[in-house]
Order: sequence, then structure tokens, then C-alpha cells
Amino acid sequence: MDLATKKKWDRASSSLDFFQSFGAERRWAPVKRELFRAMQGKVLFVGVGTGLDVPSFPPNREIIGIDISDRMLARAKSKAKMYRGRLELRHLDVHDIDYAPGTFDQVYTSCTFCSVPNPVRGLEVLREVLKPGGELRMFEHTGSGTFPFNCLLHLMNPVARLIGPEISRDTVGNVVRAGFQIVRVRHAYLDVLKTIHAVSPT
Amino acid sequence: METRPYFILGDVSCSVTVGLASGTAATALGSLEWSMPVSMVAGMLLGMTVAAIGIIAFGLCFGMTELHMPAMITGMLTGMGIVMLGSTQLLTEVTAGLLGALIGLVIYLLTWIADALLQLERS
Repeated sequence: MDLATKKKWDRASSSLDFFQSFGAERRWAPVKRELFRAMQGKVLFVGVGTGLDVPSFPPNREIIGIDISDRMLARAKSKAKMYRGRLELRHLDVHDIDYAPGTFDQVYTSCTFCSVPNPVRGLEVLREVLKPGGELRMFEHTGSGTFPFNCLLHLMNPVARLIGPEISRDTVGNVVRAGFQIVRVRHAYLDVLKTIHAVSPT
Repeated sequence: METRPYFILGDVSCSVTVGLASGTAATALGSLEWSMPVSMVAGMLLGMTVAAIGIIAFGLCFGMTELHMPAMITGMLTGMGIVMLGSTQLLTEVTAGLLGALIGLVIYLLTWIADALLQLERS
């Protein structure tokens, strides 16, 4: 387990809901609900955090939610109990996923791969636990390909990295580098906040 | 692009407030006898600091990701611009603040248009 990343998110766990739950989650809820509506089969949710996404999950699904921070998961427990379906929480680093190859029909992430230290390796692990043709659906903030937003994000990234996520990553490129096939990328805000739909090769 | 009045109002308020505050604050740099490049960098950093405070404050109600682009650009441009203008003419705090607020409004509008255009690019 990457202890530096774990420590960073353990530290952030006490304030995450305060900063995110009202403004950001209200703004993103429609996009997330639309993304999560496609949940089916056995689902792995990577980076479940304090469970802010749980209210947007459709009911009656079989979901395993993992996170590197046990303090985040402790806060997620009450939200997970409210979920009308099967939601199991596990303390697990994405790099150390121990499920057998081809276990899951779908993998979901929500603002997760801005924080995974080795994103391509992490995505490769997800591809391995997906069934052939299985789906990867992501809601992520990424770097921008548009001036001046790209310059701004690169300028602010060193500070952002200290307190939380990286803000200038090429997550779509990382998905491709990890061996997925992109189905669709939709911009939710500028080209910075987006949903990514990819599949594991058959 | 954002069409919900609550969030549009929040985004505009944040950019305008950051412009107003960083414009007013940047006038203080005019009294320092620094070279122009140093003053401009100081103005930019001051604007970024003001923007960071604004983003955190407004972000609680409106979400930080969408606020930080226009607000940070507003802070940077206003900080630099007011320092440059202040070196060639006398600027009161009120004038500088109003100029900053106008910059904030224009930057928000340009960002909204950029958002609309980028959302058309769907693969």
C-alpha cells in the first residue's frame, strides 16, 4: 500500500465532506446519476472515499467500494448502510487489488485517478479484474488541452498536489495507455471535468 | 455549459468579488518602489492569493472546480493589470476595484462561452 497517499487522504477525510458535500456534489449530481445509471452486474467502485457518491447510485445493484484511506471508509459506513442494494466497503489500494482476473462486469471511478500515484499501472490492474469486454466508466477532472486553462492548471498543480489531487493529468491518455478502448468522452465542464466510457478488449 | 441560475449566480459572484478584491488590494503595490516586472509578478501572486481565498469561500456553496478557472484568471490578470495601470496613472482603490470587477465579469463570460464550445466537442 502506498502509505504517503494513504496518509494524505486520511488527513483530508475530516474536511472532505465539509468542502465537497454541498456545492460540488449538488452541481455534479445530475452528471453522476446519469453515469451511474448504467451500473449492472458485479461492479467495482474505486475510490469510494467518504461515500459522497453513494446517494447517486441506482438501487438494487451489487457494488464493492474500495478506498486507500480507512478513515475515509469509516465515514462512508453510514452512507453505505443507507444504500438500498448490496454495497461492500473494503480498505484496498488500487495497485494491490486482489480479485481474480475477470471478476467484475464494470469498474467505476469518481475523481479518483487524479490521486492514484501511478495511474497507468492502476488502470492496468482494473483492466485485469474486468471481464473481457467489461466497462470502465469514470467521472474525472483532468488537465486541459485548451489555452489558457492548460497553463493555469500546470501552474497550480504543484500546490494542488500537496493538499490533494493532481489537476493536470491526461487521464484519457492514461486509459488508452492502460490498454482500454475508448467508447466515449463527454465534457461536463470545459475539457477539465469529464465522463469517460471505455471497454476492456475482448 | 452551466444553465442553472443558482450556479451561474455563484460563478459570477465569485469572479466579480475576486476581481473587486484583487483590484483594490493591488493598488497597495503601487506605492512600493519596485521595478515593473517585479511589481507585475507581485500583482499576479497577490491576485492568485485573493482568488484562492475566494474560491474556497464560494466553493463551499458552488463547487470549487468550476469556480477556480475564471476566478484564478481574474485574480492574475487584475493583479498584473492594476499594477501596470497604476504605474502610468493615478488609480483610486474604488476605480481599481471596479476595473477588477469588470475584468471578473468579462472573464466569466469568456469562460462560459469556452465551456459551451468545448461541450460541443464530444467524441
